[in-house]
Amino acid sequence: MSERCDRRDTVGAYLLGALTEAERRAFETHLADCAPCREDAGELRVAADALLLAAPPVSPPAELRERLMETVHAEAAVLSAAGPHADSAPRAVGSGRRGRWRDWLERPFALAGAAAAVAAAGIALGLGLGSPTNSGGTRTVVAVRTVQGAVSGVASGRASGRGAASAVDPIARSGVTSRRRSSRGCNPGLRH
Amino acid sequence: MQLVQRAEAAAFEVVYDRHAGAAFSLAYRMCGARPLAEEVVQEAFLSIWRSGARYDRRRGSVRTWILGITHHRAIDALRRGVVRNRHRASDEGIEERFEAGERTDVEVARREQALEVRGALERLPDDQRRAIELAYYGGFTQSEIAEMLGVPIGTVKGRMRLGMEKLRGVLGPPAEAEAIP
Repeated sequence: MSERCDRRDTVGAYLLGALTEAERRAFETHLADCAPCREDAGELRVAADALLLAAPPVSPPAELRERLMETVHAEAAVLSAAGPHADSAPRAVGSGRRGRWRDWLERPFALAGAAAAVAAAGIALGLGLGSPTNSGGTRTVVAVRTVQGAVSGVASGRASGRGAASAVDPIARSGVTSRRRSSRGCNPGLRH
Repeated sequence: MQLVQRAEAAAFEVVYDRHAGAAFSLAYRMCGARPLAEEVVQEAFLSIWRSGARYDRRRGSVRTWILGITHHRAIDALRRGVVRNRHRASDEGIEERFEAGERTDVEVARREQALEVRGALERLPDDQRRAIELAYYGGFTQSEIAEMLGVPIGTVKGRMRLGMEKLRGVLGPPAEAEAIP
């Protein structure tokens, strides 16, 4: 590292997700201009990624898979019913979700040599670390919902009130919303 | 359903089956309650289903990518909570109680990996480990942690940074993330 930045200590807090949204955005703006902090973030990222893997193994319930796949198959069916145009809108807005999705699924999951790539991509890593879903996910969901709205007539006429998007809203379908209200006593599961 | 859509859904099921265990383990570690952990994992995988194109192999393994999304969702869920129980959730016995029936090679490797990282974490000085755990698994902000511990924010940042540097030194490069599909 060629020089030190006086905001260097914030790198750790940033990687651990310990910043508020406003602080995170401000620090990402800083990262874009600060090469030492970007380099630092790329190096410490190893520790943050390792922490992802440290949880004691707990098996997910079978019902979770069933609920999720019910939604996935329902959404796939709606897209299918919409025909070729179903793909065009997400591509226009979401950079070709479907094509690339299949593309990376068909690749081996163990990405040989990726360790070196990760090291080389340290700068790129530093820019998007804390929010893997922030920018793209929402945009794509909106695109999918737009498609669903467009084909609401095909989707068995469920498009009323809030429209087809709500009819296939997986959260509403699965009862997660009601659970959320009752789960506020969640526990961070800390050791101390 | 057209073939393309069927193939998409089937491929997604494979992804889920490979990574849901690690994702649920992380979510449960963070939330300390199965209903909320289920909600978090469901939200994470639905976002993945709807935006699969966001995966960029240059950013690491598929597993790390999926767990990163799960972590982000869990922090959101924790911060949405009006009341957060700050007492410790007992981790003891979790593995025995919820252990998956099958002990595949991949699962064994994952468990060993988790143990290794937990061991490294536990060897950190208490104040560093605590700051890291409160942030990463508890979803607390640096300001909240400073208040909880009664120390300046700068001290919290410093502990986090020192702890992460040590973890990095012990755990080395992220090659282990690629060893497990």
